[in-house]
Amino acid sequence: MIKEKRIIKRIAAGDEKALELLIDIYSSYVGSVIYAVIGRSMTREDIEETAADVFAEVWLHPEKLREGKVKQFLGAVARNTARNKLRKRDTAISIDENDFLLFDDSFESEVDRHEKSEIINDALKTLSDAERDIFIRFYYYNQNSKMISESLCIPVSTVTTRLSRGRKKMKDFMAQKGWI
Amino acid sequence: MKKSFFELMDNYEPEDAPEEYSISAENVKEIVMRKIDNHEGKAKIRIRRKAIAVMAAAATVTAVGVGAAAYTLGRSSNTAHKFFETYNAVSKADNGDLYASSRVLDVEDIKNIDANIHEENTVIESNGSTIELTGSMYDDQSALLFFTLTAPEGTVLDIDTDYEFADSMFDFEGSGYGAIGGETKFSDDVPGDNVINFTYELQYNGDGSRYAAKSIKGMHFQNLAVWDKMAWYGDEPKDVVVEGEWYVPLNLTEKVQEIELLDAPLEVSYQTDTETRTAVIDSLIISTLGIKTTETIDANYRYYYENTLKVVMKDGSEAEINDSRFGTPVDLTQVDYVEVCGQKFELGN
Repeated sequence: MIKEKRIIKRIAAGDEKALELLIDIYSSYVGSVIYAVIGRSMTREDIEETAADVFAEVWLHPEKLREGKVKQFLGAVARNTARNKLRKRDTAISIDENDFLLFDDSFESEVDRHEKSEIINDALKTLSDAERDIFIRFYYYNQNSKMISESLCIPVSTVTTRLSRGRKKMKDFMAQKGWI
Repeated sequence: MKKSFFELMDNYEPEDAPEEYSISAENVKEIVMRKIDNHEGKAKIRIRRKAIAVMAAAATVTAVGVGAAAYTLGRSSNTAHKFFETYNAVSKADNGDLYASSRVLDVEDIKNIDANIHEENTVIESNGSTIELTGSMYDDQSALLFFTLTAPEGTVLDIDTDYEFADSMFDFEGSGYGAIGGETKFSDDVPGDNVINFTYELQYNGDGSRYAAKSIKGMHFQNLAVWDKMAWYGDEPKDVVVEGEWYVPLNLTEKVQEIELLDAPLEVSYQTDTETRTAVIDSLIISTLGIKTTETIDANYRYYYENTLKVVMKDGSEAEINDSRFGTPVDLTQVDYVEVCGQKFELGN
């Protein structure tokens, strides 16, 4: 098992070898997250460049790394960096009324990020595997219906239907817990 | 409150990506090193890097000091201290008579570094070796702790070797072990003996938040090893130089002296894309550990505002400032003046 704590400390101390080790371990994962967001709209070289932005961010802000949460942090930075690249290329995400929920104010004021993550995981468990996969691709990785349809080799209409079911189940769960 | 599923899913933490996509780690490394080199500028001498905090997003802003535009690095003997080797920037800029106004403050009781180090005398023994906490310096931004490790007779501890403790963590009240944003520096008084000194600087708690001195209960150390011989995989490093496990209790009670340089808020101008705006510097506080300002500024324009902060020593060098911390503690008796946004403040040395 890799001593994550040691890598984090050495990166914070300015050891480039530790950063290189982090890249060896996580470059595939980071590349996969970026590809999940950007997909085929960018070349492999673009994705490697974007991955490099992620690890450069780690180098500049090592205080954000926490033992046991390195992969999650890298995934979040990779996703945000990829989304920013998409925005620069004017690839807009369209949102309609179906995409909104009306939350109780306490959800924002009283629930911290870690608890929200757990609530979301519990909600996602109420979806079928297929519904969950599509829901995460659409709302987390911002893939559009056409991209999802091509990746999963299913019709766009199937994507739309499963997405709709996923939204309903998520809303039902949140309502049951009193958050909406 | 209306939120979209997109916003809700910003809090999601996936275990894995939906599908694998392979990229070249070697290509990524090459690009990263190029980006890092570009970011850290063209200077050839490596500066020991510190963690950089994120600026607070509010109407009141705590500024980050910005160093001089062009400089070379060299040692400054006036600020050298037995615990540190000081690398200060010698400004190449010819400042001339730039200042619209300057004030000489009659600051009483300016202290040097030694006077700010709170003496400690905590000795912990393990396996025939001791770690002694000999001193501490702290304020609200960081803590600097001074230790001496004495190994059994016959063990040679050499400063040219890159040492690292297999484990070293702070113990915080309530939250337990943490502190990733810290840094260990080794120094040695007498080469070839069995004693080595080291300092540990702490700026962040284990959760990434700023540390609070009163919350630190102690520090844990285990097994001093040579870094290059440490195993990345597996639990124990190879070739441990000093074997032992030490818990050093900490009770930080006396902050370093801080000096407020402003006797009234200071208005400064800054330029946006379209207009000249005004910010107010409410305080300018210096201590031997760092310098910080607090300002009142319209949050909509904070990205245009750049606090140009310099601490110039009597020998002409400038103290290295990172995130309001000095690169190494500064002897305030050797400070010639502080400059903020073109305004000069002398410390009356």
